[in-house]
Amino acid sequence: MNTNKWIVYAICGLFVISGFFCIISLTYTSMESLTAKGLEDRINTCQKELVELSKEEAALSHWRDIGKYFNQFKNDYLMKIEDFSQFRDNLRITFSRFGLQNKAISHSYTDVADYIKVRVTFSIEGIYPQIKRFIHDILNRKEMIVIKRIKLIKDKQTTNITGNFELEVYLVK
Amino acid sequence: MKIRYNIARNKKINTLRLFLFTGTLLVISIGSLLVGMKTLVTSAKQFRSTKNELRICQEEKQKKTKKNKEQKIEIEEIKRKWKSKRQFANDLVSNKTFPFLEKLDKLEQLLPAGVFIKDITLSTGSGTKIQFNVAAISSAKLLEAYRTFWKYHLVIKNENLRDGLYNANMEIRLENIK
Repeated sequence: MNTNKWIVYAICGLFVISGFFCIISLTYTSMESLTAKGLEDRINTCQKELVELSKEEAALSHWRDIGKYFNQFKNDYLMKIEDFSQFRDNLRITFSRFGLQNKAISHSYTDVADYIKVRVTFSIEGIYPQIKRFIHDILNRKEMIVIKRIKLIKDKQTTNITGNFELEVYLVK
Repeated sequence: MKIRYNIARNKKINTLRLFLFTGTLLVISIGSLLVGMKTLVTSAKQFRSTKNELRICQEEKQKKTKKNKEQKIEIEEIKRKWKSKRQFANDLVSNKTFPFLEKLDKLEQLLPAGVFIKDITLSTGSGTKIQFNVAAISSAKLLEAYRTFWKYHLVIKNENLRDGLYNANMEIRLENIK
């Protein structure tokens, strides 16, 4: 009789304990899910920041690629180093083609990071229209031959003009 | 007639009802325990996984932020180099298209008769400025030249009379119109 009584008490105790356990576990889970929601918000923020950082990574690859545009410009418009001797010969031919007399010509070279700058200075003598035609010819060449300075001096005795020219030619290394 | 007496101190227990009652309580208790444990385990698992996800994300972010700092330095360096390259290309194009002939044509057009240029300097570096020496057959012609050039910001640097010619060294500004 007593044994039955104690079994009933034990089972009732177990029932109460398990009920409490169930309620507590559900409450704890609810609280944890609230915390987890906060964590998920932080994950979302973190992922958004990661996307922003990836965008900046993409920007770097864009900047790394930008050098190719300058290289393209160099290859398209600057003279190749092997073509320079031909240019020098061609310049002399151009003088004679326009009936100009060349007095002196000199070259000076400056090595810059991406190219070689050649300063070509020379004097030519001829009549004014010939000199103008020569200037026109130089200005309309496809290569980046730049006239930096022109000094025209009229001869006192004749109608001739002496032209002191300073050109700059840029050579691709 | 048979008379029955119940002389038991306690009430007789209905065994079947007792078993049913205790059995139900036991099942409910075990069920509650199982539900509670399962909820705890599942929730803890999910929580751990969320925490882990956040940790991975933060680690990745930390790595990327560090990498990003280095990248920003690299970008600044590329930008600095690019700026000088772009400047070089722009200067080159601007020098290549400098209107030497247009300026000479304009001067020819502006010079009055009886005044001629003795020498002239044109340079891409001096921008719109043109410096030249003129000789005029008379002072009136020279003054006429001054009047013409006056609207081109004329600066007379020197003037003299030599060999019967009126010489002047002047500077004007001609806008770079192609």
